[in-house]
Order: sequence, then C-alpha cells, then structure tokens
Amino acid sequence: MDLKNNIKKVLIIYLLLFLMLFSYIGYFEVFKAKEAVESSFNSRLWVKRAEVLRGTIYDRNMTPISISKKINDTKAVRDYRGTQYTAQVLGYIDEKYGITGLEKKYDNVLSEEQLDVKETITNLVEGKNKKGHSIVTTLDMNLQKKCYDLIGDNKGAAICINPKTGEILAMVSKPSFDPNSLRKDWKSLLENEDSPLLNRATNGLYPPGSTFKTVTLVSALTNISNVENQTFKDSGKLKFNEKEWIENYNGAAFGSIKLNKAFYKSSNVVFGGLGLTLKDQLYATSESFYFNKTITSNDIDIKKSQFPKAKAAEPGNLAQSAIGQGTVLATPMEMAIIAAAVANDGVIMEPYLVSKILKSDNSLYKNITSQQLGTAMTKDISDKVKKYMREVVLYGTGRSANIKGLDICGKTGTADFKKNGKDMPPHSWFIGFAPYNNPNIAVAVIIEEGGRNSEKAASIASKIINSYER
Amino acid sequence: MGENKQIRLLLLIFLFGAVGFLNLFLIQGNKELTPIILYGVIILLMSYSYFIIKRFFVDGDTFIFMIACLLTIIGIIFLYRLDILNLYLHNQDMLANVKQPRNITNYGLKQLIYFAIGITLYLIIIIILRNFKRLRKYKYIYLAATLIFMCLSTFFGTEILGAKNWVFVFGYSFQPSEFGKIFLVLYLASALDKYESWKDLIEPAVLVTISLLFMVLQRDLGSALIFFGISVTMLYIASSKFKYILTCLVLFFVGSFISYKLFYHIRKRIMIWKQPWAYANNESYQVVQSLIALGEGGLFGKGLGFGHPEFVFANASDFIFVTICEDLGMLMGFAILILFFILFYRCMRAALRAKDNFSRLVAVGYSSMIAAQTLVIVGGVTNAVPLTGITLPLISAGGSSLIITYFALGVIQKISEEGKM
Amino acid sequence: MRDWHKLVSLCIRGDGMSLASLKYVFTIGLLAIIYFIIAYILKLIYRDVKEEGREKLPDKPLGLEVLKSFKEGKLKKGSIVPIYKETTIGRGKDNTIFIDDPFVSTKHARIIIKNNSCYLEDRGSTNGTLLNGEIVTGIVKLKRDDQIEIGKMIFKIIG
Repeated sequence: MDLKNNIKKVLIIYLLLFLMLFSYIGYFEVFKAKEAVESSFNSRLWVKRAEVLRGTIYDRNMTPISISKKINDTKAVRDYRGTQYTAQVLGYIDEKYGITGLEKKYDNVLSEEQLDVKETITNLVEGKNKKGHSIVTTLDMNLQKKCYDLIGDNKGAAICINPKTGEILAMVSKPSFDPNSLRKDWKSLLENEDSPLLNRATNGLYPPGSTFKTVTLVSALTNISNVENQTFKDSGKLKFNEKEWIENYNGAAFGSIKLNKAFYKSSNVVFGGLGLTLKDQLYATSESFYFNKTITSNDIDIKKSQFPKAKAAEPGNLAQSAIGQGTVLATPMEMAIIAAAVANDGVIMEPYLVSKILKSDNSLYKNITSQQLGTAMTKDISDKVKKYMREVVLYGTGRSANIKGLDICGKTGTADFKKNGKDMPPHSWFIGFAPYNNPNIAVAVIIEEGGRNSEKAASIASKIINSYER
Repeated sequence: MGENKQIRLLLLIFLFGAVGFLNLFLIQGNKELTPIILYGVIILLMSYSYFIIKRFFVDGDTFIFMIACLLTIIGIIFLYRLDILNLYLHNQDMLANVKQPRNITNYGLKQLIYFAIGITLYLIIIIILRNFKRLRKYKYIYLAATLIFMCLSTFFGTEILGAKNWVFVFGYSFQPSEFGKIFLVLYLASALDKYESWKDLIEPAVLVTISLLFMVLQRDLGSALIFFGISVTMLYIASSKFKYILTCLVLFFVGSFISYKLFYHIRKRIMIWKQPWAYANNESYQVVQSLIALGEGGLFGKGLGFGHPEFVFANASDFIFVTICEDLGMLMGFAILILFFILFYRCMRAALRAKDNFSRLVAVGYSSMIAAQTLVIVGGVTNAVPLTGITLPLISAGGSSLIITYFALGVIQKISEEGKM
Repeated sequence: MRDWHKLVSLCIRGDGMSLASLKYVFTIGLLAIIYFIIAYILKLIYRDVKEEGREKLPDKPLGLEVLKSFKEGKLKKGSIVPIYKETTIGRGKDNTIFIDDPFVSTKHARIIIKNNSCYLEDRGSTNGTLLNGEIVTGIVKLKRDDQIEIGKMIFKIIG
C-alpha cells in the first residue's frame, strides 16, 4: 500500500510539472509571441519578400536604375545601376542593414503588385511568378551624373527641380557610396566621419548665408511700400552697439545704392538693416517659404529648415538672420524650393520623385500629378525678384555663372560657420533657375567649406544648367 | 477493454496517419510516392505488432503500444516534411550556384527503419522475457554496464556541437548515455529492491554521482538532469522517505552552484536562458529562433509545410517540437504533451500493478525517464528552463533514442501484464 | 489535374490565397483527429479505472474438476473449482484451494492465467506435483484435459 501511494504522489508531481509547462507555453503565446515574431531576428519576412520579383526603378527616360534579378525561388539580387550617383535618393534594401530612401517609401508598391481577381487567377494558372510594381522617377540620370561629377572631390549637394511641376530632376549628395558593395563597405561607411550614408540634399542643415537674402528681398518687397525706389546708405558697417556690427564682404562699402544693386552686390549692411526694419514680418515670410514647417512629400523626407523667432531686444540676431547667418539653418532642398517658387510666379510646388507607377508588364498603372504647396509671393513680386536675380548673374556676385545664351538667374551665398568654436572655411552656395523667360529648371548647389568667393557653387550650378538645356 | 474499442482506436490512429501522409504527398513539388510507401510500411508494422500482442499477450496494457506508435507517426510525418524542405532548399542552392549547397536528408526513411527495429525489439522483449523479476539478480552486471557506457563517451567520444556524447562505430553514431540510462535503471532497481536502511543507499549513491560527473564532464547536462530525476524518483518510491529527496535536492543545488562557479559553459547557459534576446545574434541564436518559430505558429499553425523550420537549428532532433508547433500550432504541441502524459500515466500504472519491488522500480524508472526527458527538452526549446541537448522521445530523429525508448516501453509492457492490485 | 498539382505545389511557398484554404482543411483535420483520439483514450481509461474494483472474469472460464479425492477432503469427486488469475494450492489456510492432506505442503503449487494461457508452477513442495504423471519442475503450460496430481487428489483442467 505504501508503495502505491508513493507512486500516486509521483504521478501527481509529474502532472503538476506538465501543467506548469502548459501554462508557460500558453503564457508565452499570449504575451510574448508578438514580440518574438516582430523582432528583427525573424528572417521569415525576408523570405516572403523574396517570393516576389521586386519592381524596377526607372529614370524619367525609362533607363532602369535599380533592378532585381532572381537567382532562385527564394533569392534575388538587386542591381543598383545608379551606383553612387543615386545611392542616397533611391536608397537600398538589405536584410541586415534595412531599407532606405525611395526603396523604403515605395516598398509596398515595389513588393507587391495590386491585381484584380481575374489577373490573380490568370497568374496562378499560368504559373507566372509574382512581381512588384515598377516605378518611373522624375530623375534624369544624365543630369544626375553631371551634378555628381561636377561636385568633384568636394562634400556637398545639388538639387534640380522643375519649378512648374515640382519634379525632382536630380538630387545628389556627396560623399556617396556604392550600394552594390554595401555589405563589404558597411563598417567603413559607419565609421566615416563625413557620413556618406546621409542624404545631404534633404537632411543636411546648413546656414544658407547670402542666398537667404532672396527671402529677405521678397519680404521687403511685400511689406515695405516703395522699397524699390528707396536709397540705402551702405557705409560698409551696420553697427548695433560698441561690440557688435555687420560688415560687407571684403569690407566693401557701396555708398548710396538702390535695392537691386544691394541685392546683386550682396550687401550685408543693407539687408541686415532690412532685417531690423522687417522684424517679425521676415519671420512670417520665411514660414511662407516653409521654414519651420515640414515640406510634405510622398516620396522624400525633408528635414525642417529653421528660422528663429527674434526677441525684440536683439537687433544683432534680426540682422544676422536677414543675411542667412545666426541660427538660420536650411536644407539644400529648401533653398531649391525658394528658387523654384520665384521661377514659378511665386507658387510653391510639392517636390516629388515618382511620376508613374507601372504594372509588371510595364503598362501604366497610375499617373502621379503634381501638387501645389502654397504661395510665397504674388506674381508681381516674383517678376521683380526674377529681374533682380538675373542682375546678380549679369552684373553681380554671380557672374561666374553667366553662360551666353542661357539667361541664368540666381543668388550666390557664402555661409560662415564655426566647428567646435573654430572658424571654418565658409560653405559656398548658389541657388537659381533658367531661362529667365519661362524657366524650366531651378537648382540649388552647396559646396561644403567651399571658400570665400562662392565661385565654386555658382560655376558648378551654371554647368549643370548648361548640361540640362543643351 | 473490449476488442472492438481497441480496433477502433487503432483505426483512428491509422486515419490520423492517412491524413498526415496525404498532406505530405500534396505539398511535394514532385509527385513522389515516398509518403505513401512510408504510410504503408507503418500500417503493416503496426497491424502486425497489434496482432501479435492481441493474440499472445492479452493481459498487458493496451494503450502504451498505441500511444507510442502515434507519437512515432507524428515524428515520421514531420521528419519527412523536413526532407521535402531540405530537398527543395538543396535545389534552390544548386540553382543559385551556392558553393556548399544544403544537404539532402532522409530523416523520414531512417526513422522508419529505426521504428521497425524498435518495434521488433519491443516484441522480442515481450515474447522472451517471461519472468521479469528473475533479472534482479544481475545487479553487478548492471553496475558494470552503466559505468562502461557512461565513460565510453568520455574516453572515445567525439564532440559534436559542444557536447561530447556521441561515439562513432563503423560509420554509425550512437549515444552511449542513452544505453547507460537503461542499465542505470536496472541497477538502481536491483539495488533499491532490498532497501532497508540508509546503508543500502551508499553504493547506488556512489554510482549515480560518478555517472553525473561523467555527464557534466561530457557537457551533456540534459542527460545529467534526467539521470538525477530518475534516481530521485526511484529513491522516493523505494524508501518513501521525503527527507532523502530533500537531501538529494540540496545536494543538487550545491552541486549546481559549484559547477556554475567552476564552468564557464554552465554560466553561459544560464545567461542565455535569462536573457535570450540580449544575445540573439550569437550565443542565444538557437533559443531565439526557436521562440520566433513558436510565436509564428500561433494557435493553429501555418499549415503542414508552410512554416519555416529552415531557420531553426536542429529542427529534426532537439527542436522538433517547435518545428511541429510552427506548422500545426500550439494546439498540436499541447496534444503531444497530453499524449506523453497519458503514456507516462499508463506506464506508472503498470508499476502500480507490479507484484514485486524490482519490477515496480524498473517500471517507475523507465516511466520517469520518458517523462523527464519530455519535460526537459520541451521546457528547453520554449525557454522555460535552460536549453540542454537532448531529444524528444519517439518524435525526434535519432536511432539510439527511439530504440532505447521502445526497449523501455517493452519492459514496461511486460511488467504491466501482472495481476490486479 | 496537372494544373491543380501545380497550384498546390505553389502553396508550399505560401502563395496560397484562396487555395491555401486546403492547408487549413488539413490542419483542422489533423487537430480534430488527434484530439478525438485523446478524448477517446481518456474515456476508455476512465471506464477502465471504474472497472478496476470488480474482478474481471476471464474470457474463457477455466476450472479444475476433481477426479479423485480422499476421505477427509473437503472437495469431493466431481466438484468443480473455477480457476482465477492466480490460484494457489496447498495445506496452508491462505491458499485458494486448501487441501488438508499431510502429504501436501503448505505452499504446494500455483496455477496462473496469463495472456490467455494457463500455467502450473510447483512452489517447492516436498512430495512434488505431477502433471499427466510427470513431475513438474518450475513452470509448465497447461491445456484442457491435463491431469494434475497433488498429494492424494487428482484434478483435471476443463473449460
């Protein structure tokens, strides 16, 4: 009897152990399973992806830039034909290192084709393999390459937009990398202090320097009546107090000048003074150009540019902001949009990268139309600004951008900045558009630490425009 | 239990197999007949054995054989499912010109062969072992055999995946520790049979400790745990003294604590167990993938053949439980655990009905061997307990394990033929 | 038919869609069957446990017919003693068949029914047990009409 009771007790203990195991598994399933499945260590998502032949990304002339090829049922290799030219804007897709750029934004579209019932069944019966949609971008690969090559060994960015529609014709960020050898280069890419993985065009924030005077000009023309006929006194220095003042480049003093000359000579004194006069109105104008606001776009994520709200008792800041220094920060994309707005009679178009979505047989699935974002100024004012910007290239600081027969308009910029308290060579900026009558391209070029005379950005921009128009 | 009812149960099991193998047949890329053949052979083996048992050995337990076969069938179904997958992956690798394409496997066929051997052994035991209790006399043979098998691995063993518990003979591998378990139970049963006072415990205690030491040296911690579980259970049955159990548990904790401090690989296991997600890329990769597969399966699974066991390590052996759970869900996992418990219950019931101590102890020993192994491995792959490298009885691929389990079940079946309580 | 196979083989890659419902059918099927098996086993076990208290009568009832007895013997010639799973014979009072014969040892012999067969075991008796005239050593198998001689009594297997 004794032994039998023992056996029964042992049975009960084991039963309890089994029940404990049951509960643990149940607990796991209810509370922990979701977390496990969604963790990045779950390779099953990638298997599902690999079942579909990812769609191709084309440039506007139907040149394939990113195209996948299947090597077996479960594996495909993506050929990034755009290599380093389009690395940041198109992005990459990698099991280990994630999905970036346009590949990420259009992941759903590229991964799976939307089919109606009839097409689904036809595919199954005919044993056709699944494919994703292809997309046609607004990029012009030739232009893209030209921009990249022209930036040369410098760090910086270049953007070209069609001002009438918002189509992004080219977007380049340097230094860059080749997504085809991502795995091999990953470690050095991460450790590279110059951040080649960064898309400087949309995510780099720089002081815009004198290119910002375009905004100040718009603000002045909008808010100060008869400012065009006003005569300004430029003595070479704009003083706020004993210790702080603003100077012109090279200490130049332009004497008594009108607004247009102040603009094409890029007078800090005059524009700094305008800042003091405009006060918050300049802040409002900058926001109409989407400073401090998110520039919406389906296709790209653009970092917010910043224009500070000035406190009344700080004339220094007001003046600095008006000439694009101080704490003003802008992305190259923002500056391109400013140029585009001027070119487009004051209307800001939403920048976009993808114009068509195609079916797997390359027939059209969906057209994407341009959208307006808002209005930054009236046509009257934009006409005036256009004229002033033409004068910059003809007579002013932008002469190195002048190319016969192209009627380029623009504004140069030299942005001072400090790194770790030390003065660095300033950034070289140029924003502009062409041709003067009926512009079809707006550009923004920044060469980091490009130097004092801003010739670098200007000549590069003109060569870009030249390549496009010819 | 009526003859009709037994046949009905047998037919239900056949039905289960039919649905399972039909499913396998359909999910194949090419229309190979292998699943049908596997099923046919299984039916034949089971029918033949059932016939023999019913004709000549009516008194024995009727469920043990059925449940064991059902579990083995589940195993073969999933092992062949893995074969299908591995063939597919091999072909994909060849298409992609991979330098070292994944191997084609034959788990299903091999397991079927082991099943045939196991069942034959089972029948042989039932047939030739007329008077089981006579075997209690060979205590010292068992002692020697246990020691030999235990140290076989230590001296002749090959280390595979961190544990040194495999021995290769003429190209075939087997696990000596599995055989050691068999003899350990026989030895303990014969030693504890005449238990009267604690003096009788000294000899067995020494043997168990030595065996455990060998296991720890071989890094076969799972087997060590099971050995310990079996010994404690048998000790309790023999002595009825709870304080011995307590002593053993205390010694166990002391021993574990010391090994924890001494051995890095034990600390690693505990670390992996406590924070699997922190080391998911390296040390705890196996457990993490196992948990992901378990989570992916959900309640009903994704369907036979639709899971992704290729991401799970040792998906045919140690981790087969999660392979099953990803395809057929937690419900299937639960069903398997329930079946194991019922099997355990019936085996213990045989122990209840045994008339002499020796038989009783052997039955308890082998029963707890099966139950403990199940608990430890299912607990390990679900991270309820630290992972150890042992197999799920009857279901995991592995000849040694399957044959040993059928041997143990054969002995239990024989014991169950004894009279009423 | 060929297309159907192709469609189903597409399923292995999870292409499924409406055809994936096939896999659900199988899953439900397998789960249903196995849980039915479990329930059935549990029901049968429960029935088994309930019946445990009662003595199970053997399918083929066996018995011993007394062919020859002795004067003081309680069992007379012609009487029939049924044999159960285990029947002990001897002079001791705790035997199933108690024979008060000095030539019969206290624990003389035992008849066991196992796996539908009948066995006779001599338990080390002084004067021995005879089966069909031959001395029984150890365990021997019995069949119908066998004659067992213990002391002065002779039994015959019937049934």
